[in-house]
Amino acid sequence: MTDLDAYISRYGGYTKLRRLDWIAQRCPALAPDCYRAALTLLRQGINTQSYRDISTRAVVLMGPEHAVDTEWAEQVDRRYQQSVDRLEAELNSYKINLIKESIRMGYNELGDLSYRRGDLKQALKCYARTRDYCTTNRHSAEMCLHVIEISADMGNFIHVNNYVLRAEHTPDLDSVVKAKLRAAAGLVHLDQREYAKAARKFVDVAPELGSSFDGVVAPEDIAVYGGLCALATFSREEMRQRVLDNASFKNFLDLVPQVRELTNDFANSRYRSCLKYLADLKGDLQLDLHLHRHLDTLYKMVEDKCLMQYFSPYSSVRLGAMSEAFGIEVPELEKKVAALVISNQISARIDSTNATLHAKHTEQRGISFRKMHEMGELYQRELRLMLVRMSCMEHDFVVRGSRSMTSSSLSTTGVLEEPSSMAGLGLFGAMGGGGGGSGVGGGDEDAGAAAAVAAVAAAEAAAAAEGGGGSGVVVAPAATEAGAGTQE
Amino acid sequence: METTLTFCADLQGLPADASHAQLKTIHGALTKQGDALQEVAKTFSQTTDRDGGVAAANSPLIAAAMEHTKLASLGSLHLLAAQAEVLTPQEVPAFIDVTLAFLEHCNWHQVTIAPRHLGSVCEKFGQVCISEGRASEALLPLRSAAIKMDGDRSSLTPLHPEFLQCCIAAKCYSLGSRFMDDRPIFGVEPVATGLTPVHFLRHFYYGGIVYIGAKQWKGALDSFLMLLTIPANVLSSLVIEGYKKMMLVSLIISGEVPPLPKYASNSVTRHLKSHTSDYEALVSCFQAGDVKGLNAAVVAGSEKFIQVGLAHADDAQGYILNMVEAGEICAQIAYPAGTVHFREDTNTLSSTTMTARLEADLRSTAELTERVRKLEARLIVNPVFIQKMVGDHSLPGAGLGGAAGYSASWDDIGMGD
Repeated sequence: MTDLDAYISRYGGYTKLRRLDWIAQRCPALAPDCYRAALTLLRQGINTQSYRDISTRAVVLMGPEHAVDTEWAEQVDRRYQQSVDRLEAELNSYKINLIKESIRMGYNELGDLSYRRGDLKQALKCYARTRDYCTTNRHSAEMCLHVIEISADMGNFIHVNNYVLRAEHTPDLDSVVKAKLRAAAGLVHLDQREYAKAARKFVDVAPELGSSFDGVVAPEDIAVYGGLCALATFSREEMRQRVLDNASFKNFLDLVPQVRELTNDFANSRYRSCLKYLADLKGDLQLDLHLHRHLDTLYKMVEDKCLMQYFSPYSSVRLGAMSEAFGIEVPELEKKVAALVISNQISARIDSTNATLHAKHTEQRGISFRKMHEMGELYQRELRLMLVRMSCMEHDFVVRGSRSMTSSSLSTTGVLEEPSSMAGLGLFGAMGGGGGGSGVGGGDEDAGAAAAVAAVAAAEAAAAAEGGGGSGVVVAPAATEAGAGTQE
Repeated sequence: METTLTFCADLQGLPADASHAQLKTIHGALTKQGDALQEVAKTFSQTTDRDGGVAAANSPLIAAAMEHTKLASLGSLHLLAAQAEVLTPQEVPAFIDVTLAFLEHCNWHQVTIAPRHLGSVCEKFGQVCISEGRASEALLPLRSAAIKMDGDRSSLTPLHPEFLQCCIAAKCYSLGSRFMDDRPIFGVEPVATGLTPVHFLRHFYYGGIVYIGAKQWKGALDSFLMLLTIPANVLSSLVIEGYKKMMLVSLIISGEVPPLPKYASNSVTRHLKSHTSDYEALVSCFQAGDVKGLNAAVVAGSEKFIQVGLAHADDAQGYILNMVEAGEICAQIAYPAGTVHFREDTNTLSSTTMTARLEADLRSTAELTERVRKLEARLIVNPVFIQKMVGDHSLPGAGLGGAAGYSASWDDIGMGD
């Protein structure tokens, strides 16, 4: 992390504390600074729970001067309790008098207090309750934003998504609220690994956002998230339209020059410097609360895209030249290109003796013929399977288990039951769950073991046992010609 | 014994085109004699045992069966079936000989009346042939018997799995695979052929093994797929073993294991994975291209797998050569440099072969579609089937009422036989 103070000053509210805590856990070298900053922050607030928590950890790491100031904490706790009591009493009186606006404000104040206290669940509850008392569009938008902010802090992005959708349906939103909603929607998509959708949301965030959403994301984050997701997923055309020629997103990009440079490098095919910027940024981004999980995927996508774009105009390329352009060693590059070839993202072949990459000119006619043939084969196979299955159904020909191999089940079907199936019954269950071992293509299959059908699924067996009389038999169709003979 | 021989005499007196009902009556009566016949065989073998195991004389059943093979085949079959139940080791050679003669000369018009007896005789026959090391002798008789029993119905008979098992024991994989290619299975007729689900499972399991032996991976995959998708209420060992081999085969074909089709029975899909963890590990190693891990997985389960792995460059060359010959990949090996040049596949463009192939595809597809149409026409007027589909959506249905109730309904609608 280049500058912890500068980084953390971008944020406000609970997320500041959460990010400090997160960095301290991820990066032990920065942990003392993080704890120090967090403690300073906590001493100004009323969140004694987190204060005690972090103090205890700081003492272990940095010595006794950071010990819990119990007296202060208790004092804060007392004052907090008083405030809560007062606010709740006020709220009750509003409720009795049914003054809608005052009830809403009362809940909001309680919510704010809980939020500052770090009790997110309680805060969420209070904010959500204001829903019934919202009278104007502005109020409902405010309620939604409160819920979004807290849900984001709790990491519950499904909840965030619901409230973003709800807020978007409210008419007459001002531009700041709209920007906040876009940013929140972007985070939701990012969390669900829908990078293209996330990129589209982030690049559309209006610059009016400023630092007004610092409880969730800073404007710098919008630039990084938007830039990276766009690089990974946009086509060249979309990249130009939505990122490079996008005046409002440029405001964000200017905040993080590295991202601005690397998008420009990518657009101008300067892959080496593009990848270098990415590598430089990686350390910092790994400490980002929202992005760290997606970093490897996104980086790989960007790199693959660079490789594909580089190769697209050529019919053959020396891997040496390519390695020069990317700043990746040849063996490693070959591995990466090979992965792209295998996954069919580049239509090419590698000549590994001469270290060149040749474009593959595919013959469409041949391919479609072969595809037709394959489809035909598939269709026939499915049809055959289906025919046999239907035929099995028609004759009630089902592999059944049985509860036990008692002789009664044999006597119900009588002595006329064929010897072959009796042999099967006798062997039934001989193979437990494991199944016998036999080699692939092994010549000698043990006939007895193979004939045994093991009722592994006890539940199924029980279900089949409900079948009553005929259930004891492994073998389904009881209508034997022998049986018919005796009936006559 | 005497009663049975009387019936045999009756059978001999029958004209060659004796009516179905006549044969059926005799079959029913003969069936009742089954126990008595087994007693005779048992008593005989006990006496010979006491006499010091002198197997000079054959069991009277075998002798009688031999005598009646041609004219009273039905009686002969009953005699053999009874003998098969209580076969002692010293009678095995004679049993094999008589069954061979029986399969060759018997009167199929009579024999098909008792498919279950035929199935059990052939099952015993296959087993003893394999244990005596005479599996190759049983191949052709079993194959022609299976063809005769099936007629032109293209349905599975109890003889199919016996034939395939003998193919495996005799290592005659190509014979088995050609048989399966020439006579594809389109259905089952348990009533007419005495087929049981165990036969079905065994047939497609052995079928897969035979195809593997013949190195026809696609056929093997189809066969195992059939094994996995038969309607089932329980998971059977055969299905588990079949799935393991199917995983390996699909790795050979496509490098990945496709998920089980959604029409596989619930009980199979739900419980299968828990029995195949070793193989799952192997599959994931294979897909990660982790040769070391693959070898480790193979060594760890070495009692389960047959050792594979490319030990030397020579091996690799051999493999590539084989693949080129099979037309799977298009490449040239340059000996001096020790390199392989892969070329684009250009063969598929020669349009005459391609057109012929596509036409063949179309023809067989049309044929299959016709079969489906017929089956559908049959099913939509089958009240039992419809009732089951409407009444019980949890396929494969008929958990309640069971097989017994169902058989009665078959007779009710005149489809008992």
